[in-house]
Amino acid sequence: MNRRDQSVDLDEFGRFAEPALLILISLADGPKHGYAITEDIATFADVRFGPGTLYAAIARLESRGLIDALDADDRRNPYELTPVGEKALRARLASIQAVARVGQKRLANA
Amino acid sequence: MTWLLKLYPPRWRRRYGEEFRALIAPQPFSITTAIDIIGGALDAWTRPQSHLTRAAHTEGDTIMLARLMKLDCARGPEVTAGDGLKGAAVILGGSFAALVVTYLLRQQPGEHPYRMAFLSNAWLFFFVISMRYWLVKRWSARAQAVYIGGLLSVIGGMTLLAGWLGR
Repeated sequence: MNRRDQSVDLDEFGRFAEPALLILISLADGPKHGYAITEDIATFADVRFGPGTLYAAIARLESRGLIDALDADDRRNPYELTPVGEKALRARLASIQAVARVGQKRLANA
Repeated sequence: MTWLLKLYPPRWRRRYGEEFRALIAPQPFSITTAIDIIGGALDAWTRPQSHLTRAAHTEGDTIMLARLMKLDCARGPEVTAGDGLKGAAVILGGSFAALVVTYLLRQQPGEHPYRMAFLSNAWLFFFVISMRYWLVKRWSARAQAVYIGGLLSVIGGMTLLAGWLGR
């Protein structure tokens, strides 16, 4: 099966779905290596993943073609978002936005 | 903490080892991080990602595609009649030994809930140990140790709980 034609649902990542989503968001503004991803996520989401969790999520994202490793920079591989990853990220963010809209609407009417 | 990297599978280390080491080397030791790394290692052993397997094939590492197909899809892990006999011997022999021990211990007075819990579940321990000859036959020795050791630990924990409840 061609991975580029495949749509990937982050739900299949199980407990790594949230780290995977935050990694995709982090890479949306450009390639980063593991340490930079961790720091970026800590800044915008106030969550700091351990290295085991971070690389379990990175391995899943790379395996499904959502991110690609670039040439090593020093000993560290930067990662970039692929078109499939961008599509998956857009789909997930749209879904979150739709749920948030419903929640806010209901709170406003409460 | 870089020594914890040794807990990961070799293929995983070949792909991510250097950058993972660069990430954890500057960090001071912390229990939370160590537990996170151990959890990551368990995940890497139990849920290997397909791109790491594919990379090994292109390197001509160990397994040809035909062998993998036979192993994973067609007939399971090629269990021979000899393997079947060994597995059965472990289960039956172990269970019989536990039965004899149970019979002998029953002659002693008093309640021994932990001992009885372990003897009642003995066949389960031997069943898991026998997996070495069939379910995980083709796995590496380390993967077998992690899988079988993990299952034995879980069953051991449940047996201890049963003994505690039976006090």
